Amino acid sequence: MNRLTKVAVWIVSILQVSFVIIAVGCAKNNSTARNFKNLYADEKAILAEKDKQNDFTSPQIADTSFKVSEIKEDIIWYTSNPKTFGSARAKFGGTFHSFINEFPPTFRSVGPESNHSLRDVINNNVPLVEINPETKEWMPAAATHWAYSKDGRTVYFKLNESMMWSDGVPVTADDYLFMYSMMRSPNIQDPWYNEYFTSQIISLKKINDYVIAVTLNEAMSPDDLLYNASVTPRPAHFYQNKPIPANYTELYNWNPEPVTGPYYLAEFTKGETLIFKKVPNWWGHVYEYNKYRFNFDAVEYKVITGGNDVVREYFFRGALDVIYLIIPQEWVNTQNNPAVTSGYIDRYFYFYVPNDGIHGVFLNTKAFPFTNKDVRIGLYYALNMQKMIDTVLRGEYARYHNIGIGHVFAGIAFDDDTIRYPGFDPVKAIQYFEKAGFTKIGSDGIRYNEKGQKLSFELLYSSPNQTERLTVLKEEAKKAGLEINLKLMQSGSFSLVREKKFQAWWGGMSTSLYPDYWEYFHSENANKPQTNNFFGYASKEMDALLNAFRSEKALEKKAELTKQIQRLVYNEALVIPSYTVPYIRIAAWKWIRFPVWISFKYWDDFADPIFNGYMWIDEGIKQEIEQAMASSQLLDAQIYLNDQYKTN
Amino acid sequence: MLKKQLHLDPLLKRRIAHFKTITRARISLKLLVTFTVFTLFAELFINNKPLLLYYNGRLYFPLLRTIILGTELGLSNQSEVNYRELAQTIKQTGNGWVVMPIIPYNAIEQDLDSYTMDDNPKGHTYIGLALQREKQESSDPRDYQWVALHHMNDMLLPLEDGSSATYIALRFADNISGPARLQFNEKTKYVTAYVVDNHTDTVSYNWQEIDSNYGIKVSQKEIYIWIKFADTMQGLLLPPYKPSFKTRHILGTDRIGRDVLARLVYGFRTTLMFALIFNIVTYCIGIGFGFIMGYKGGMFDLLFQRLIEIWELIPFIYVVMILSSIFKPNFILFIVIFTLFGWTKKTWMIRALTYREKESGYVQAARCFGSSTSIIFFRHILPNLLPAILTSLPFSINSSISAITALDYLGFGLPPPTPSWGELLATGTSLFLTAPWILLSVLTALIAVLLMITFIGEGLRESFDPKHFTIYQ
Repeated sequence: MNRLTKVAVWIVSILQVSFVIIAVGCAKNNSTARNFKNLYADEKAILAEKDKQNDFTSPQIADTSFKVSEIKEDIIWYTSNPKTFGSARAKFGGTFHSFINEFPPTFRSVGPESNHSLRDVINNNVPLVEINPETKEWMPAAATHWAYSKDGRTVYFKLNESMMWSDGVPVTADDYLFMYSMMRSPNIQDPWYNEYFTSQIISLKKINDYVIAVTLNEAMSPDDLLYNASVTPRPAHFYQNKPIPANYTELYNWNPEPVTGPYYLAEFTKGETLIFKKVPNWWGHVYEYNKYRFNFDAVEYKVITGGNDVVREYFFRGALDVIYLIIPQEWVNTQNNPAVTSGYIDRYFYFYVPNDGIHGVFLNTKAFPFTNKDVRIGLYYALNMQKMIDTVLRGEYARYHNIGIGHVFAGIAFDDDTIRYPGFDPVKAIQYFEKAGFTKIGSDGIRYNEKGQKLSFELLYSSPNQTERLTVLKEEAKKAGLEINLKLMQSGSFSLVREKKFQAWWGGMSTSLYPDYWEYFHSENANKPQTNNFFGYASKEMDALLNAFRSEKALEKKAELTKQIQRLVYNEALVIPSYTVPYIRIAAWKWIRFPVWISFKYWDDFADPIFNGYMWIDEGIKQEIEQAMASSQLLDAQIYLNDQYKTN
Repeated sequence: MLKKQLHLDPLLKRRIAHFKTITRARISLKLLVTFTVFTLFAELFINNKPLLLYYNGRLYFPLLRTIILGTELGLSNQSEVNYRELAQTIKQTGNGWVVMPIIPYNAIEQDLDSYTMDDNPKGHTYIGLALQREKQESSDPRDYQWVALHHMNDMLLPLEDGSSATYIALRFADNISGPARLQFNEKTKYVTAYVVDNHTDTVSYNWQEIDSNYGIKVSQKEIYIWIKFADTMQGLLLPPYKPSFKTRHILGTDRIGRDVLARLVYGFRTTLMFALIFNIVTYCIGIGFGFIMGYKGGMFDLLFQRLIEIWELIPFIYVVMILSSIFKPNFILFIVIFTLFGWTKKTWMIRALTYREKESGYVQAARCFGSSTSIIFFRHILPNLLPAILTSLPFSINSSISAITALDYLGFGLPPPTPSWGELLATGTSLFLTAPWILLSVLTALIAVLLMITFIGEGLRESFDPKHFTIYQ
């Protein structure tokens, strides 16, 4: 080849290569323009939705036009009309991937081993009435109307006539009767249900095909009645309308019943996965508040063992759609993750009003040094809860200022939200300790009294990851001359507490819709072991309030008494409350979308697909994100925050 | 009595001389003894109390007293004096002088206020922005406006500009070609700041590198923005803190602000004391029982052997864990529990050696002459047991250090907040991604100490070996 040809070949090859490069580059540039059509469309719709005024209230109204001929007594039928809670941006379809820590031991709703975390997911039956997550008012669900009998113990329910089982068979009052006899059958091998449906719910009658009457054992306020009478049916046709057989527990171990809820268990691989599918043409969408709700076609639960670290790995590889970031350290760790900074994962941060019981330091008033009330009040000023929250918990948890929060029932607030527990003040603490006789200071800085007893106590707790938090309290208490000895008992601590063999306990108790403090503070339990009166507390004033609470039927009066009880506990210094977690935080892949308002005031889990269900998958966005990940394109990392219900 | 024998015994002299020729063992012994002595006097070097304090005309020795209350020095608080604060005040007012230890922290106190503001965004959740008209960086967190990173949707800083209030907007980018983002994340390298008004041309941004020391110049204005990062709304950093010479946290802190070096040194003291005391006690008991079993022999030996075998069946670690979780013992009780279930190990070797020694000529001769058992033990048998005892001692110390560290790691050891290496290991493992210095420092220390003890043990074994050269086959 001569020189000219060589040069020509070089020039041509360079041109070819550069043409390819330019072509590829252009193609890339062109595709970016079309790439995120769905994402941008949804983000634009979000801006429009921000201006939307939502009405989430559902006050109870009397429906005078509704009558049932079979009922002779003169009753008023109530209902309510909740409007739309979901977002009109919602798209239907897709599969939501979630996880469970272990495969359930049975699919039965009752009987041995049925009390596991997935029980209500598998036996997803809609109750007669639902509770409004924003206002805690009643909403119609399985029942469209409800009425209270004059005897004060019976509630009538009118069933929704479009209600159907997931296999298409309509639900009638016979299914409720069947449930009632099933729960009383010894063959389910569950004495708790036998007892409950014999002595608490003493009868369930069929008035006509779509009206039932549920009778409880004692008279209570109408709202209490309604709450306790809101039962779920069982499919009579599934059991061939026959009584529960003797081999029920084996026969129906892995045989799930049809359900009235939106998702039914469609497939499962034992030990590995559970797949729930949406009931086709689910009847529940007849309600406005179920519109744009339960948008997934399928929800898949995968068994993932190995703890939180393994779950996070699955999430960041896209095998799970959502993870929770409640613990402060997790939020910080996630913000560095490459998928998050590249914008493929969004984060949602919602402040809500949690529903908590008594949480914090429980004091045993029968044990030294807490027999003296001044010592207990001094403890208010000697425990630096805020510093513990600001350092170990990065200031994210909220100081708890009461022994109860979030107790709103039938629109009535039961908690006294004006109570404020004092902050750390060693000078004031020392004043109270000196008043209690601890006037001398030992060579180690800890106070002691005339008898030579040290101002020191043992703080019992049961989880090693609390050690850091309590160490902060211990060190700060030294500034007031108080010595705290931390005692970790990983098992057996609660039984010690119930036997009142402790000085102080760092723990928490669960609560219900509204608190019942009788077992905690009544004098009858003060000296009895194995009761919840850990404090050993007895006083005439408290007994009077507690007795009045139990005998009182009207909820407003009960609420007022509860507030007085909370104030008395504050004055008597029986508990030093610690903190509550006032938020829910999640990280979600960008294709999981939520309404602009994200969640509701009292709802504690907005990323749950089965019971909450207001989120959806945008398959168009999912494809766009997957393309973006493949070509390493960057997007804006979004953090959606709603702090309208933040208190501190 | 033993010392007299060492003086007289040329054999032992030769063994010591041999030991000195083994470099590894000699250096390890010297280092270990230095470290041990250092930890015994750790209060002089690592402490939050000063060595000497001259204040208000009086000389104080805080180390000799447990606590000096604030009221004693005329200060307001009724608890222990904060000596670091006092040192600052003294420096400013000149009201005396104070000699603080090199590392002014002890192993228990929590230092939560030493660190403010970081230039590096890694691991922080708040961003601070300060507007300055001069090109002067401020080191006071109060000059900065702090915003949570998750609250940043559109950063607009108000600027009082004469009559009208204008705003400065910020945009961030990962590389100089954009795209412009509203939020800051750890990949952000470029930032631009411009005044927001109707005439702003938002298409062309003037990107500046975020890492520069020059502050970010706002377009068209003589204003500079300084960017810092922190963990709280007040511009403070939360522990775990990085190692830093300025704050004297040489190995950083753990999650509640406790100095890692202090916990390492004091933990070493606890662990080493525990290991030494435990081994001395069990060796004494083990030698005693082993000798009696071996010497007496016969039925006594048979019976006792069976008893020891039954006692040995009790799983050591489990029982210690159970007992410590029920009783939550202090140091002494721990040694008691360990000794109770760990003394049987030493008896076997001693018993076998005693059997062998019992048959030797001089022992039999001594018995013929009517020597008492104790003389036979101390004069004839014990010196011959010494090689075996001394060579197994270091490895036994090693295993007890590992045992107590393992128990502390699981949380069944000494109660909090006692410093210990096991607890440091546990903290370091859980914090490894955010604070690797904790785990690295305690692992290095643990490996170094165990290695040194092993070298000493090897050296001892070699020096007690009658042959000059041993060939391992």
